[in-house]
Amino acid sequence: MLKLKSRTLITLSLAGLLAVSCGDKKPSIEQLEDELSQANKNVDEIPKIDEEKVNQILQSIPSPMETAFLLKNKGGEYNKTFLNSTENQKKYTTRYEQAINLGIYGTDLAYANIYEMSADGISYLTTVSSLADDLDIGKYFDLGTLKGLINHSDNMDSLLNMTTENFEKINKHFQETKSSQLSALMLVGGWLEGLNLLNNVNILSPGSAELEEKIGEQKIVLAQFMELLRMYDYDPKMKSITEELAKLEILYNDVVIEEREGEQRMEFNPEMGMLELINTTVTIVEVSEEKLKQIDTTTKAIRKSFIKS
Amino acid sequence: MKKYLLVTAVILSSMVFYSDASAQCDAMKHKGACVGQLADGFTFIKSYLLDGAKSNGKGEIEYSFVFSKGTTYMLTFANNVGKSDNVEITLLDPEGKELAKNMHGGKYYPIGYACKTTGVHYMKFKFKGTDDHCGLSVLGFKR
Repeated sequence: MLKLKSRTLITLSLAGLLAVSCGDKKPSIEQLEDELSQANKNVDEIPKIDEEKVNQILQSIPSPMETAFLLKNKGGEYNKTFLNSTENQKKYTTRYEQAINLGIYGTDLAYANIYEMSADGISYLTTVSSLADDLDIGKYFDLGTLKGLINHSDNMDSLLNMTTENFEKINKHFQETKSSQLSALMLVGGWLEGLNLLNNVNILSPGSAELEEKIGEQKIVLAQFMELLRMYDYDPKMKSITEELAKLEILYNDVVIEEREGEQRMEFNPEMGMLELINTTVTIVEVSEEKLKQIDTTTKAIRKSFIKS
Repeated sequence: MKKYLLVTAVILSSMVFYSDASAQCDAMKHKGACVGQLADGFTFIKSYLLDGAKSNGKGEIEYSFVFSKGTTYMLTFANNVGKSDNVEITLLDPEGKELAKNMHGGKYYPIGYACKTTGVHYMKFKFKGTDDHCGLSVLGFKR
């Protein structure tokens, strides 16, 4: 049964690869053959993945929008040089590269939109949509509507809501087509780009305890990713990506996150019609200046290998 | 022979019922309403389908999320007819300790949480007072 499922998976992968080959960014015949040969080689070695566990972890990953809002609220200026150039898109020919960079560009899109940079927003939206076409998931992006929303700053909420919804649909699609590793890669790309933004702003304007703490607490998100990615160790390409992120994991081993126990109570807020949790427990993140530099350097090196710049 | 046929029929029908129950949970159609319940200033980041067919032995549907210090979250919900009712939410900290429930004065309300502890938090959803175990929850944030 497992063997049959594995063969079905490979058949779907073949169909996916052929679909990609019909897009604008055609992978070379050699690359396709390489992916297919690797897939066939491993056809009987694919272990059963706990999809429920995968879904739980995928759902737990925070949105890069939180990072973008934090940077804006801290008064950080918009800096396009922090982002992955849309020119690089043509370099991404394998599904692995396309999924990672879909996440990276997704974060760049959120960053541009939150800073209300409509020209860049449209540029990144077009790139995201094009990459989604390459992955055969272009139907989840209503390009026309999103472009219209970007051009009207009073529609920011609708724009962000719709973008989040589109990415949720993509995640669901990947999971339903047994391609959850692409969801994982997309989220990894989005997260790494967010971490790179934090690092860049922290270097330009050092001394913000909040930013340093935010970089340090990524240890928790990274741990979620490592647990997820290691489930795909049977796939050599996934394993190589995991090994890249493991370099960050080693650095984060020295980041200390402590909890100072407080009290909690619930308060009813009749005006907002909700119950508010008041919790005085706090986490304290300890990360040295040297470690922050190492995290930045390693993040940039991993990102460089992902974006192929 | 009849007995075996009957048992087979019962098993098959229960399987059909199970898959139908799962297939019929289409509460995502209420996402717009659920997002609309988020208070001013909150941005939608996640939606969680509450499909009773996927509940644990205690009838709970569990999700987790990395809550982040300095961020305020709001968790809204809807039952299968789009109303904020019938869904008990329990929020737990990274150690699994209960932090909050969403009932007040006999009614279920959305939860707001100005988070000061970064970590994986757990959300348990349980249907109460209804046989229709299908719904939706939406998480929003603001900084």
